[in-house]
Amino acid sequence: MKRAGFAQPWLPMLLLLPQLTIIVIFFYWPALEAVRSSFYLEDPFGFGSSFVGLENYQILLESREYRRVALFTLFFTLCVTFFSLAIALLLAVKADKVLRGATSYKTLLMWVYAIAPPVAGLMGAMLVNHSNGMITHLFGAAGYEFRNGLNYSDTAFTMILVAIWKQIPVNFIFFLSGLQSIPVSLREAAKIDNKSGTSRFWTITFPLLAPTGFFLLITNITYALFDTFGIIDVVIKGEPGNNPLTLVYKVYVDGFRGNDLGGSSAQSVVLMVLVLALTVFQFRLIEKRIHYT
Amino acid sequence: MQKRSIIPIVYILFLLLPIYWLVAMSFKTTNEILSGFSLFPQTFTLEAYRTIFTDPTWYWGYINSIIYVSLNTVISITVALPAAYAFSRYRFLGDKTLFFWLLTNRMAPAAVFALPFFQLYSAVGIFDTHLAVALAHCLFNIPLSVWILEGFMGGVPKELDETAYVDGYSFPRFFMTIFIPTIKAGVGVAAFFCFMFSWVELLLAKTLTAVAAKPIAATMTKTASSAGYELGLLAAAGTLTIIPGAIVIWFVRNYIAKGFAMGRV
Repeated sequence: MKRAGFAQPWLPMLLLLPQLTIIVIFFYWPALEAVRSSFYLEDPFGFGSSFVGLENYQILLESREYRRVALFTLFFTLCVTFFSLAIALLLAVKADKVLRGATSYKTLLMWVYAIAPPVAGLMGAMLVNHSNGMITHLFGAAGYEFRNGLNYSDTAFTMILVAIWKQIPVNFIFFLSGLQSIPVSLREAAKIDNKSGTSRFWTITFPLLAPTGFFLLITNITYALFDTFGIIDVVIKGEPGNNPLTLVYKVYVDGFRGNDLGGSSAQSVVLMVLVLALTVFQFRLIEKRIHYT
Repeated sequence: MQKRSIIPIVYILFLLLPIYWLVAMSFKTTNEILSGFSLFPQTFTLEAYRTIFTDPTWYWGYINSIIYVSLNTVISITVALPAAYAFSRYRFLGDKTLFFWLLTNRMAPAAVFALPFFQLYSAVGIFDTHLAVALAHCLFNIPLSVWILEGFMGGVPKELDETAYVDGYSFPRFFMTIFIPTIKAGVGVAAFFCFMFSWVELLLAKTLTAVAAKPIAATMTKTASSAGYELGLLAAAGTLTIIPGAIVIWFVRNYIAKGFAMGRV
């Protein structure tokens, strides 16, 4: 039997049209534009641009500075992703026993989520402020002079710390929801079967959290790579100088400050390829939907 | 029980300490900030807040941010509602692939789009307008809204649509008067995430504006990098940017839990 309903064949297309239009104008067109301008060299005095083929990419790959930035980005992403996931998981497991369904607690965590990255960066900058920062004082007490913005590794430390601090609540809430969706009967059965809490965690809880974990892994990598712009901008006070930068920040610095449109576009394309790889990976993951229950 | 709660409490402290530090600093005098370490404001002052509320470059930052964020939320939800309905109710060739492909647009790095957007907007003449930022943020917020709304729509039985059809409702009338009120929780959650994203995004908002539509975060980062580095003023500005988010979160806190439970956030 054919079911009654709003079934005109043109209706779904009409409903999708606004979204598709926006995606084409604001996604595909700019993306193609970035690819196109990556093949051109902008005249430094603004007299048009000339086609240089792959030269921008060649310069990029040979640039030692770019390699240094890429290496730091890798280090930064690994640190932020690993620590924010690990700490959030640990906390979620500990809190799970105490906080079954405590909404006010989650609301509190959401507030950290609502803090803009530049404001988070500002908080970090204040904690490491040379004259009166709390962290500077702590390091000072331990006999180390902490110099944010002057010492390369100190600045990197601040950036990583702030980025982790900002991301933990998001991961925490997801892990907590994941934990609380594990059926009570399963937990009890595991309790009867198994002796130690640690082995119970690694053999039962951890695999059950895998879908949440994979999803968060991708989210965190994306976050560390792209969404930390605001944090970095404030921590280094907008002065790239000798400070650690990530790839995204370098695109901004070269394109808007240095007016190297071609080079910046080439870097954008490199980032896009990176995102494409991550996207395909995530796509496969969603399709497969790792499920155990 | 007592021992168990230690870890969450320590964590809450770790989380809130920087926020406290920011708020406390906003009430300190410049002298006190520069003179060294103090846990509480010794002399309580509202000077920083007074500056923000009287200096147009500061308070216009807030107004600009609020304008483009609201504009973006309205556009995103208006575009996302019909699209989400299409994905939720119709089966067509490649619908699932299209759904996920559109969703992944959200992962696109803003940095890639900053330059092309800048050129596009300059050419069309909407550079440095609220609309420029609002439209740019749609790129990220529409896919997210479609994803959230589609989840909520999936929970509404198809019989609702069929009954309305049999009763002789036209599609637009059904959609506006019956369907949207049914999923208003979903609209709230989607609007919340649009609001949050647009409110905290800096890169596009900073590069697509110059003076007239400059967001508060850009004013802040500019002050942060200028020579004076007025910490008290910055702390007050930072504190004020947290407030709108906190208010919105308070209103949608129960719905958000639902959104998280669906894994759709």
